[in-house]
Amino acid sequence: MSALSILATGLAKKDFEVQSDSAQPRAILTGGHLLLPDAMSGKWSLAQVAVAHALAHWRYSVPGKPIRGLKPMGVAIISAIEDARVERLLLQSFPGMRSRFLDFLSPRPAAGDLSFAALVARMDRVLADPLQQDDNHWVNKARRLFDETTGRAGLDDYDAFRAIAAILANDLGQMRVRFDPQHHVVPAIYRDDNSYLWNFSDSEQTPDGEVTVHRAAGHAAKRPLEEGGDSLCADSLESSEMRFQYPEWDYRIERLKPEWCTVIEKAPALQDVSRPPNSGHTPERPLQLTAARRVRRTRRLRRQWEGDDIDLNAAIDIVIDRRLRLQPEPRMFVRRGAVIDESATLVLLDLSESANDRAEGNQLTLLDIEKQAALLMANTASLDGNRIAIHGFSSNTRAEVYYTKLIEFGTMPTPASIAHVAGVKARYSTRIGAAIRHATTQILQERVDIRNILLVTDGTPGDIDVHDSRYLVEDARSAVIEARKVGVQSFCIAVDAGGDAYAQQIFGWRNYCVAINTQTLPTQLQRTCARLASN
Amino acid sequence: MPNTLAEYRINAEPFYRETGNEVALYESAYVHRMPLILKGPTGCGKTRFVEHMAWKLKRPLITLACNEDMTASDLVGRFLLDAHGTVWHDGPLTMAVRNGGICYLDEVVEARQDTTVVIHPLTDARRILPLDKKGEVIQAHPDFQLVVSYNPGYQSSAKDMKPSTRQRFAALEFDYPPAALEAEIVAHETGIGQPLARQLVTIAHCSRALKNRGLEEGASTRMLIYAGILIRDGVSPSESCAMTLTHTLSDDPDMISALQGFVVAQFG
Repeated sequence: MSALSILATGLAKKDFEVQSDSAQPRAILTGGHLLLPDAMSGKWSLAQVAVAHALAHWRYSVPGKPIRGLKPMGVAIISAIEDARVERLLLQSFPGMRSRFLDFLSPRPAAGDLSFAALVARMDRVLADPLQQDDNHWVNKARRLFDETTGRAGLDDYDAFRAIAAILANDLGQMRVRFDPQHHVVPAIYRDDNSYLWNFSDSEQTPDGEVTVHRAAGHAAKRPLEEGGDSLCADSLESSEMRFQYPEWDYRIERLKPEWCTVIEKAPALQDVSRPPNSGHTPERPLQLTAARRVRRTRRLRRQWEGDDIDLNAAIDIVIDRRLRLQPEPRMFVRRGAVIDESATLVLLDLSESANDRAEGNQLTLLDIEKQAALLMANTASLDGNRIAIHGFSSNTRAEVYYTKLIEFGTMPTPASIAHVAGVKARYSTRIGAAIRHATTQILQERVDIRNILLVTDGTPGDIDVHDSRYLVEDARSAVIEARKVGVQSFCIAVDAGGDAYAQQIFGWRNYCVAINTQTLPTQLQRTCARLASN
Repeated sequence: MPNTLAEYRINAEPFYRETGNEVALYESAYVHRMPLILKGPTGCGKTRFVEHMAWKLKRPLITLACNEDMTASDLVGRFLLDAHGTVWHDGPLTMAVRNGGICYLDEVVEARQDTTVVIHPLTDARRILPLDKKGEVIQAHPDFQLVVSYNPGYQSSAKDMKPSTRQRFAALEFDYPPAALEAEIVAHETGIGQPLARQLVTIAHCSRALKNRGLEEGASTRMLIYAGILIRDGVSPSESCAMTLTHTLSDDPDMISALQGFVVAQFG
């Protein structure tokens, strides 16, 4: 599905999601979303054509026209004409789709078949392919009217085409063609059910009985919070707890308020050990991370005792020294060596309540995906020599900023630490500034050359004791700047389509990226870590 | 030595189609020999623009592609040995400074920051190049100008110009030309027809929309020209796009199938 989403985004030049978990016979389009029927999974060329058709609607159709006063057959014919119109418009920019559309139109019905579905299927064919011949009078009339309207009004005139659809529907009525709205399905398999075009809210009956489906694409309900066993902030089994005081920046007085926030660092509780990281949810596609390719920049090591080449500058110095009768410095070789700066990356996960939201059409919550990605990354990174740690935070007012170390620097994930990660629950709010200050203190204890903090968050900073939305953003920004002053770079991945605004404000241009959906998060996380480590 | 830089002169006009007012702006900057930064995505025509301007202003152009291993001596020059002892050999920058050429440092951020510092005295009012090893200070030739380029899109934060270097320059920003113009450029450079060039440009536009989907840079004008050249020579459009665009842009199977989908949407 990910490839289809990318394809759709590129063709539409806007974000567009394609998902596949609909048991319906035809695809369902809602604004910016396409739900493909299960039957299409694995059929790449068919799905590709379905995406193109849906994009044609999205680009050129007016959605949600009132259905009141229209007969079901009228709705079906208007929709079929609209399908043909938007496809023609799309072919102006993507001419290669013409043959593809033809490949997947429903097969030519038998000559004597004059049912509604057969007539519409034949009309679809002649409208899509000018070379197609048909002997039916109504079908030929449809072609003639369509071509006349195209010539007279142009393809952009929706109303003109709606008028010819009304004529055609009326003809069918005169021909006594029977229409069964309950069992009608759009004939071409790649086309959507056209519920996108209509607003059924003032009508009880839908043209083809598929109306209920298009709302299934909406947000999944929030997962209820499980009671107890909360390793991040419950008090049941916590053994160690340390408190730290941090200042907070108040942009209104332009001052740091000293000792304003209390960060409570707790070891994750040892529970849920039996539970694997995502029990209860089977990912629709297991997350896969390729091993992070660490960019090892080779560097020329100059003035070596031995090496592949003569260091020209050193050699010249030797000759000069000889002429001056000085003792030359004998190290005159150059060789390639991999001098890598040691780096440490601290991945800071936002464990606030919103991480429990399920992504649309996805079984997993953001929290699940964060955990999986973090574990996979900890595995690949520790193989790679780049030190990585995974910490999480959430806050409940300035007095309680919870901070937990899921995986420490230099440790491979063990069954126990995997269980730690699995047991983590997300709740409360997002006080980014305090968390970054504490993370900075943590990472400064690492003896490496490059230190990075990578924050994964899904929303603006906020807490229940702060009502000024700008306040915590400014505080977080100030924390990032303070970290930079002591040599710690901060970077952010915002899993939030609207993340540009605040992420840029806090982390600065180029120090953040936006993951449009949770599916792309693991890849982006890994890529960003590799990039940070190689800096 | 009037003919020192003869081989660096550009005799035939390099094709360049102006997208904004950049030619006039460059000329105004050149009147004052103001150092210039050209920034823009890869393959959008920065280098071609400099070549075109060097031809137009009738100045030799000395191009240097920067890399991480580059040292200050690679720029300014070094002592070499010959039968009689050491001889000084001017580096490309020194050559341009002495003889009045345009020195073009391509991808300047790839060079280490301490290397690029040598251009500082050249790029302010002093316009001098001190050769400390040789004990010489060169006053820049009146025609000398320094132009650097880089791609702000993919550089990492460690690879950035120091503010002190940056502030010595004026900057021109480049981007891919508007669709109609880009098609014209592709058609001109490859000899394929305008309609085909337009189709290639549409593919590029689709790929450039994938920034948030994990494709850092979409197809560049240069790639389209490669694709067009193969098509002109008889390779089928979809094969030449697969070769020059799809597989060049990404290794990710999902991304590749999506990119190939854009090609299908044009060429079936």
